[in-house]
Amino acid sequence: MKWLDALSENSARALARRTSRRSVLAGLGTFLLGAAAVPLLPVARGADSKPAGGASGAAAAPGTAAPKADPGDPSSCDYWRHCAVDGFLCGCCGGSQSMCPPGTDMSPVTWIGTCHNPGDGKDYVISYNDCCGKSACGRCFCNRNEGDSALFQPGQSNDYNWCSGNAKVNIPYHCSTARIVGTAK
Amino acid sequence: MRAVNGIAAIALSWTGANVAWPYQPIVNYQLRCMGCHLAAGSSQAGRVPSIRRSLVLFSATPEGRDYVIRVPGVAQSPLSDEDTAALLNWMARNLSDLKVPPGFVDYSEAEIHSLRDRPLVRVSAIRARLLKTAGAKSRLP
Repeated sequence: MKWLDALSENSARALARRTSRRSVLAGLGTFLLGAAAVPLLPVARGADSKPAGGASGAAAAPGTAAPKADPGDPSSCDYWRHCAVDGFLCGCCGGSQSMCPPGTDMSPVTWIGTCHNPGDGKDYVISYNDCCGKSACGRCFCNRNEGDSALFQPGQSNDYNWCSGNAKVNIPYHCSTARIVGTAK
Repeated sequence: MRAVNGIAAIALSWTGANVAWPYQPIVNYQLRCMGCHLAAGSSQAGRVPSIRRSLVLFSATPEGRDYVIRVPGVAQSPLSDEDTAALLNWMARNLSDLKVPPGFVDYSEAEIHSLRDRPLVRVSAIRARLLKTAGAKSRLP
């Protein structure tokens, strides 16, 4: 076994001659920093957001069906999912088109319409859940109203403050999401 | 003839903006009901009544069916009688905690048509009474 001792000793001494303790620290530091930086790379995380509240029925919960083609800028009023929105876009308020900004709650009760996706030519059912609990966001106001109905058809009207349907009473409107429910067929 | 076809196509596309599209029941549920009754029909206790334990139960009696068709959300929906019947039948089979019984009678276009022009006013009181009588008859918790 002497040859193994010699091999270990020689390789350890060779390593000590070639490297310094500081270089080990530098290498380790670079590795740790690099590992921390990987999740910061620009990846679209809005698409994999989970909806609030599960569904055991056959009607899919909003946010579960993401289209393959999703053209346009989600922070723009012209973005296809915003075809019937009336309010401040949550994407400009610290949230996204499917998630509420921190400090706000999503109203489960909402109004629902359809929008045409120019990317794949299909119509999608879009749920415009309001985010509630902070004063109005004030950024990216968008009022397109396609398919909006009069107030006497509440389920097709975007003029309601849907935060009134939240579990907490009388909490203020902050911004609007535009979550995909599924394709309209 | 081609010009006539063209005019007909334009007329159709024009009227198309004002009529409900013939969607499958699940999409009609998403567009007309889900905003309040939520994806699974469970709704919000105290605000929006649940479908899951009432629809199949109510469908078993004439008074219950009368309620289901005349409840404002059904009676006043922009859906046609045919689409409304298909939607209710789909809901009974897909959004219910109670299994559809063997003798379940599907809602028909004619049945919807005969009742929906008289929407209910005292909805909560009738619903509570129906649940009480139905609950006494069945073994529901």
